[in-house]
Amino acid sequence: MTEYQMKASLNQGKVRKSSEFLRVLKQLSYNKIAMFGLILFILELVLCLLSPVIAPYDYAAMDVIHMNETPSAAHWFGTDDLGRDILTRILFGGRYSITMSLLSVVVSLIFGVVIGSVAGYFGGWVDNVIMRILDIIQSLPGMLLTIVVSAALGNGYLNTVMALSVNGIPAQARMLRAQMMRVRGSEYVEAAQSINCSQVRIIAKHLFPNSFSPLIVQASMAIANRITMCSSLSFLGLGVQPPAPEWGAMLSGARQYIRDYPHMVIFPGLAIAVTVLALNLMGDGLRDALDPRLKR
Amino acid sequence: MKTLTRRDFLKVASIGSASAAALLALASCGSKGGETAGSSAGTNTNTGTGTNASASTGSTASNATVIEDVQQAAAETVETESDILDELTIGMGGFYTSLAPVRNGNYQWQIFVRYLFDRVIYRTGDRRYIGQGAKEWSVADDGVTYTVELYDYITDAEGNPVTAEDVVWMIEESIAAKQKACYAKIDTVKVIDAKTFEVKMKSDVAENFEICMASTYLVARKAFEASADGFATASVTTAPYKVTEFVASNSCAMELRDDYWQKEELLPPELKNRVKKLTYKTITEVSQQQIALETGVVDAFASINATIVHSFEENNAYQVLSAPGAVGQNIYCSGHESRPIASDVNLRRAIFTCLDVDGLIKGAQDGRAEPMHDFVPRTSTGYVTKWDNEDYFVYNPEKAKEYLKESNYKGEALILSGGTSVQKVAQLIQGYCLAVGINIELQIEDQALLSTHANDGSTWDLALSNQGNGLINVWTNRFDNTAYAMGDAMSRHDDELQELLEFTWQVKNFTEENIDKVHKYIMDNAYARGLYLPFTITVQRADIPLTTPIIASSGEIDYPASAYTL
Amino acid sequence: MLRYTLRRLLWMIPIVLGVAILVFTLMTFCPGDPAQILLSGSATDEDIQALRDNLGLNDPYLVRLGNFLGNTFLKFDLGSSWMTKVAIKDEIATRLPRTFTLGIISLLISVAVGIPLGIIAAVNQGRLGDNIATALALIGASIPGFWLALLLILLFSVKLNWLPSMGIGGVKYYILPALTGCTYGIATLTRQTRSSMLDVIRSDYITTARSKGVSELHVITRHALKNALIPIITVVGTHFGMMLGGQMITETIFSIPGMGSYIIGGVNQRDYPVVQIGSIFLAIVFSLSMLVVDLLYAAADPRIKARYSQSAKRKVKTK
Repeated sequence: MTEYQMKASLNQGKVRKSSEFLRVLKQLSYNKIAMFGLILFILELVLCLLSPVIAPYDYAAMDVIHMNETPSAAHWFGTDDLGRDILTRILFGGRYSITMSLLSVVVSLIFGVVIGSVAGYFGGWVDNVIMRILDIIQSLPGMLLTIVVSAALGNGYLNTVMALSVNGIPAQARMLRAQMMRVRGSEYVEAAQSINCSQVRIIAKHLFPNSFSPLIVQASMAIANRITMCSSLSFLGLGVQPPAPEWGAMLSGARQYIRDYPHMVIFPGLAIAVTVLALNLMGDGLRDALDPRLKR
Repeated sequence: MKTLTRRDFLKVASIGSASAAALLALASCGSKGGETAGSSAGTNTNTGTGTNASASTGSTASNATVIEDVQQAAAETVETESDILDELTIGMGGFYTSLAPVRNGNYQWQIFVRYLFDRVIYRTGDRRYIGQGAKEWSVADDGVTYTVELYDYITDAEGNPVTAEDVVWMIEESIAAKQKACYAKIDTVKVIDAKTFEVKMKSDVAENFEICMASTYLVARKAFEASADGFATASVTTAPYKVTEFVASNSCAMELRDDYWQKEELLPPELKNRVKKLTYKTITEVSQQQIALETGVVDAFASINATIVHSFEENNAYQVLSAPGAVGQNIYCSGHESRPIASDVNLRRAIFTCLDVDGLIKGAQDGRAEPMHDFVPRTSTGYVTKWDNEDYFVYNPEKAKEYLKESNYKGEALILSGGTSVQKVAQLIQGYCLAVGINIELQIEDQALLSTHANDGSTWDLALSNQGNGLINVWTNRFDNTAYAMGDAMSRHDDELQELLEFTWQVKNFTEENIDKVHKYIMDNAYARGLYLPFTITVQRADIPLTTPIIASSGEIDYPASAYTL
Repeated sequence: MLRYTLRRLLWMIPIVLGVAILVFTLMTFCPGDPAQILLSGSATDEDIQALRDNLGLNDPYLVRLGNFLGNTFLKFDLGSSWMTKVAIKDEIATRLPRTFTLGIISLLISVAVGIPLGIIAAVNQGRLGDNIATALALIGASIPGFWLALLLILLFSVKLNWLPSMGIGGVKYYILPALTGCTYGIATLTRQTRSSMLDVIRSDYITTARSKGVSELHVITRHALKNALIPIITVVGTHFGMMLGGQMITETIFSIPGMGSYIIGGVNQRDYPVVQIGSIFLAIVFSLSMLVVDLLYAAADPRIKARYSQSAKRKVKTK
């Protein structure tokens, strides 16, 4: 193949990729429930991003006179045991919970892609060593690993993001490795090598579109999972701690009041449940949309 | 996949939300526990009404009893006739991790420990030291050499005799283990004969000897060395109870022995045993504490979390008993030269006067605490009662602002360090300081991390901690500038204070007048301040036929020692 | 088959070794000095150093690692907890069965509820049954476990007084904790069963069976379910593993003295031996359960069985 023909086929690939993207979106839009999930999630994101503007109170403002109040006109979700407005704290808490999960998924992705690509590309003993290390990480049950890493790193925002991301790296790495091994052996790459085209560029061009769909599906499920894990960490005393309004930390701080002031436990729990539900609906819909067998 | 019609979608959404709502509604409408125990009229005992003007009782419910003055209550303890109660299950929030006698002092003053081992000397609720294994003891003229005579018929559950040799061995083991601070004050210990031994203290400090003896358990060396794990899971006891089942950090079931070594008639009221079977259950989850009482899993809950007490008041199926605790909540200032607050007495005064203790009590303890009038709680030995009638850093934000103006404070953030258990108080303090213009940055860490630099005044400006269990204990712990590498617990080197302390804590100088001097010195310099003394609250079922509760030094009820009328 | 199993078991040894090294190294990074935590607040610096020497904390990393690995794997001396001095071996012997039981009961409930739900969803695809089943599954996956635990306690223990709210004892003590842990499993199993059943139901041999006049029930249970088992077994296996590690919160809320509360206690008190040995044990149990899952695959699908035996005979090189 001449260089010109090579470039032409590449460009075709690009066009295909963008029409592929549109097709997926169109497919997704037929799935009402998935769209519901997507819209719900985007709505939440917007609310949380706008929280400094729309929140009625300061999330750390204590009001000793109005402690433990049930929902009222002044406080739509009531107040917590230090008189802070729960609605405000949920809005700000979303920023913590959602961004921490998103960040940790991105970090897992980056590390997973790099490690998986390296393992798949070089093969041989490099591949073996990396695979064994991943085996070791995966033989610790997920929550346990997260807890131990979180204890080792300490509390705090960034430390918790790192602790959450360790768990997801092996799965991503394995998937990338499989894709990389497939692509590496394909004819395109051999052909590119023969005309001195950059191997890396070719690989990148063919690797990512193929991995795109499973990565995205995995990622959206993972975000939901991370939110729950992040809350669990706060619940156990690791991760992010009060007065930071992270949802799990709010639940943890309110759990002694579940009998007398259940509203303090219900709202953060609902927030987590609704967010995770929206993400799951979205992820399910995405997976159905990307499934070639269900094409219309 | 065929298109879902709007109807399908609505069906799903409605079913989903309906089931979620149903679950929530069912669950949350059970928020107030009803009367579950039988409604026999609970006797409202009121032992000892001390004349403490400043004690805020916090509760006027009909089934609540407040012991205001444990000293007085204990002093009024008289020999009472009592029936024997068959069994009792008590819940507690802390947990006992092992039965080993050589361990750190975290729970050693809890009443629980009385049932595990006998001691050389026992500390009662009003902080008198009475002999348990010791028949009598005396001190020589040098003030540091004590001679102790034991009962010569002490035996453990396997029949092994416990002699002076065993006790000396236990003391030496404890010194070597370095787990309890008091043993570091012992110079030498030696056996005189089978029932007598001699202890020489390093210096003449009041109460030191007694605390060491009250921390020493009676254990037969033979039995201890025969045990595979140093009694951690199975012990051979000298106490009136033997452990029948022990699940570490979870529960401990005990039964009254019939071969207890001490004669019944020689037991003082505080050491009697009127319960046959005693079980302690650990419940750390606060909501579960409440549920355990309501569902009858436990008959009583000792040191219950303050936030759930109010649901038991006005409920005649339960009795609520409050007693002042042994450990108070304090705040103190760094003395390290790198922190500006160390040399700025006006800043310190400003901070101490801007705090509204009543607000702190309401916010952090649900009203169940009393303000303190010294750095040391009034339940401590050596507390001078007249302090209760004096002003102590009265809440005055205007005055605080004045002090602030005279200080060198420029608006920088001061670090307030504390453990996770004091989170709420820390946040409230932050709020009060902000109201007068002082910026506080919180540094809340878990206990393990905190302990690594709690005494390093260079890493914080202010610190919160809980102190108590004796005036001397607190002084040596906090203000003795030879205690730690960097000085005292605040990394301070105040030689004048040191002189004052070393003078006052000698047994012969331990008088009210001298103690008052120390109190004034610390107060004038605003080195530290006591905030509030939390109550120890016990909630029990009203149908337990308790007539006279005996209160332990920790504020808990000593159920076996109390009197019952069946 | 036997050779395959043996090979897997042999592989477990270096993996477990690797887990030991990983956890040991992670714990060395933990902030906080164990010696200082163990001694009372007024310990002097020399006391702390003395205890550090005693516990071996002042030795260099490799020496400590070597000692730890040697003691654990060569001498089988698992040591005692620094905090309580109780032998770790004994604690694990009593605690591991409790956690394991909890995991199994949770798994059984997940399977008993999840698979039928998934079948209902698959068979009624697109109709009401599907929607309800999927909705329930989704809600189950979204609810945070500890929130559910607290609500369940309120409902079953306090309001209805049917079940005990905490502690250990007979089977009824395990019900509420198991229910807490199984919602995520039910959700995943339902969805997985549904999707693999759907895959299989559309296939040719099912149509053939139906056209032969085989009853619908027979079709579903004998033909469809059996072939859909593989992905379901995967989910069951990974779920079991997740549960082993995720019991910490359940055990904390229900006061169950199991492995989860043991390890969390160790983490909070910087009791390194407890965390290290506990993690190793959990990793071993997890690997063993993965092996069981793989063997189940072989039992369910003869093609996979053949593949295992082949690969055990010949090493396939990946290049």
